[in-house]
Amino acid sequence: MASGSDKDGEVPDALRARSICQRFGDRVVLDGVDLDVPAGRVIGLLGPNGAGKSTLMRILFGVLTPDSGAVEWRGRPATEEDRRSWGYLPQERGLYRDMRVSDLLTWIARLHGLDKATGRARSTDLLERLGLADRSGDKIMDLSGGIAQRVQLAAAMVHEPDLLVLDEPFSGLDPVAVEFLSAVILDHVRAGRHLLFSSHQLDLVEDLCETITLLDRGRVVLHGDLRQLKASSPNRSLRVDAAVEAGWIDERMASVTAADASGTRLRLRPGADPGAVLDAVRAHTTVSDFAVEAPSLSELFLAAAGRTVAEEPAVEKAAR
Amino acid sequence: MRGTAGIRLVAGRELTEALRRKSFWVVAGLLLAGSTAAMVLPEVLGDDGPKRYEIATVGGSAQLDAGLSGAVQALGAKLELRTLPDGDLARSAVKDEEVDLAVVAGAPGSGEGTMIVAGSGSDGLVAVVQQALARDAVRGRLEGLGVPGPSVDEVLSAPSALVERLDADSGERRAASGAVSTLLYLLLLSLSVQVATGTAIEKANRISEVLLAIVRPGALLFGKVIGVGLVGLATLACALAPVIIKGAVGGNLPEGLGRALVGSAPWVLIGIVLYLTLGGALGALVERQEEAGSAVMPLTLALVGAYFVAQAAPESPLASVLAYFPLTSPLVMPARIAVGEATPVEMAVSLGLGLAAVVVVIRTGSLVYRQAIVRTGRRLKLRDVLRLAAAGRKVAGAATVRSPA
Repeated sequence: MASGSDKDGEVPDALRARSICQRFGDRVVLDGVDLDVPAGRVIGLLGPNGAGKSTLMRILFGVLTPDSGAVEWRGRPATEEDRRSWGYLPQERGLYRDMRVSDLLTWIARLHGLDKATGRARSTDLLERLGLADRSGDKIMDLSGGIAQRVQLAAAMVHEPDLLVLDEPFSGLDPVAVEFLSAVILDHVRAGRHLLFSSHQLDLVEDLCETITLLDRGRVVLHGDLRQLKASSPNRSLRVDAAVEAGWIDERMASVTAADASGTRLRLRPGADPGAVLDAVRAHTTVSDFAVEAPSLSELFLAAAGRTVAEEPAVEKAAR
Repeated sequence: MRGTAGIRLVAGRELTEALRRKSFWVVAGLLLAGSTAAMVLPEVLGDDGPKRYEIATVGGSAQLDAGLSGAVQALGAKLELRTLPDGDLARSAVKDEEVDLAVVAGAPGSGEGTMIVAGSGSDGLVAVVQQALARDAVRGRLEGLGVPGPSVDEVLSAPSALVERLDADSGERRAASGAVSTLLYLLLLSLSVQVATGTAIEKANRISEVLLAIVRPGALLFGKVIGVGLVGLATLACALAPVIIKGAVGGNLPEGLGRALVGSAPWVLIGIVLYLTLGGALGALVERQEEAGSAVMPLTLALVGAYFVAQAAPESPLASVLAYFPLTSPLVMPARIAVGEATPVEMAVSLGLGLAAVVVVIRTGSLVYRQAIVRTGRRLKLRDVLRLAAAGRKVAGAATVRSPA
């Protein structure tokens, strides 16, 4: 198992969770979890449903008190005041349905300590940035699900937090909304701020993540820079734009791991020659596009957790 | 965010949103209109000034007229005298209801006059006229015996005994007691359900999750309690404004009402704090909005019991006992104050117990709310939450409680 801590690369300007343990009854939800969220990087807290991601985020915000472990902010224990300055988008979306959008955002800004005029100005600016300026006078109950989710995001950002924590922000979003939210996330970290988000849709967020912490059954199974993790993995796959029958390939060289209308993905055995595998496929069918690829995020997870797709259906490979 | 600022903002939101709801203004308007009508209509319809009596006399005298006038004035009424020539006309006038009563005088000093009155005639009027006739007869006999006029007046002006009427206003006091306890019953019932429902909605919709990342659980609970409490007091003010105005301009209020309203203020505040805090804590136990009503059932039962006793028997021994219990005293004590049964000692003890209960309920309610509001997945048992909170453990440790991972 890879450790979530990285003492050598410790960054003082970071959110850090150390040795977080949490039990609910007999069930161990978090078992010695470490997490680092440095500034300026997109950090993904990833794993299947039930891995403990939301519980960890609730602990970060003090909504739950852990059985043991500590949360630090910029090198010292996180205080209540620190937490009030962060922005949090919970997994379960909640807004006062009978409030108007701008009133709600201004009120939340004031809860964060801003005065009314500043809160109102921030709300107006943020609604403009999020493309919601024309909905500021609407009641929440009159908004569609997608617009309400944007308002929820605005509520987490209205006080311009340094640290933004988003729990399953992509859940239920259409592709356009996913792109929009990805842009918002990137804007936040490019400004040198902190950002942590969680997702169980590993492949959906693969392009967005820079650093990942993979949780499984309450334990960190993989942690680090995603590009380095991929590069250091001995696993490689051959992708071809053709349907491949299992019998065409010597099982000592490769095996089919995925197939759909766009083609087939073959996992290469250690030491196998990709060219020889490609030739074996081309002996049966025409291949016009192919590539040797590093493992996907899902494959990294399955390898780190020592599981197969059949064992863990909750790991979703969402279509991009 | 400091606790007080969070409480202020949460309370302010509750108040602002309530004032934007039409339902608030409808209820407030109905209470204002109903109370205004209750204060104004008796003045307009029920009291048209001093009573006027018309009495016909046949063969009377100036002394008899003066005696009749004095007697009717003693009733707080005004008299209009009419002189008729004979008894037949007097009977016709009474029969046709042209006059209330007729007096046919006998020979001076004989005391043999006749009073003619309809079957539905006022007994009080008959009695005072009889007394006037008797005085007139006595005057005539004394003068016939040669007693000088001034001496006769002195004899007849002997003071009569003062009349002390016991419990004359008991009906008004019971009415005032009933009105006050009904108003407080409806107020506490609706507000506690409102807080419980609001808390359950916030938990079900996970609004609480967003807010708990910003403000403390206590600020959420007590902000709501204060906000909804202020809405309740504003509603109460609408109901009481006509009463206060009428009292201020010197209008007649039912006996005991003013005393009950002023005297009950501490118990009203205690009741609001107790019931709303408990409503919020109990509302945090449930998973869905629809369960809020059943969650506050213990509070509803306490209110119904207290209301029944306050309405039916505020002077009873049972009421004197319930006036000490903090959950029943907010209804029973105002009723006892209204009927004049509450003693200063009883009030002081009840107030002390109520304030102690406020401290306990605020602490316990805050603990329960804090533990329960973040626990989702199923309805929690108060017993489990209290036990674990008291033990200083997280409620998440209970096998019956599930939290999302």
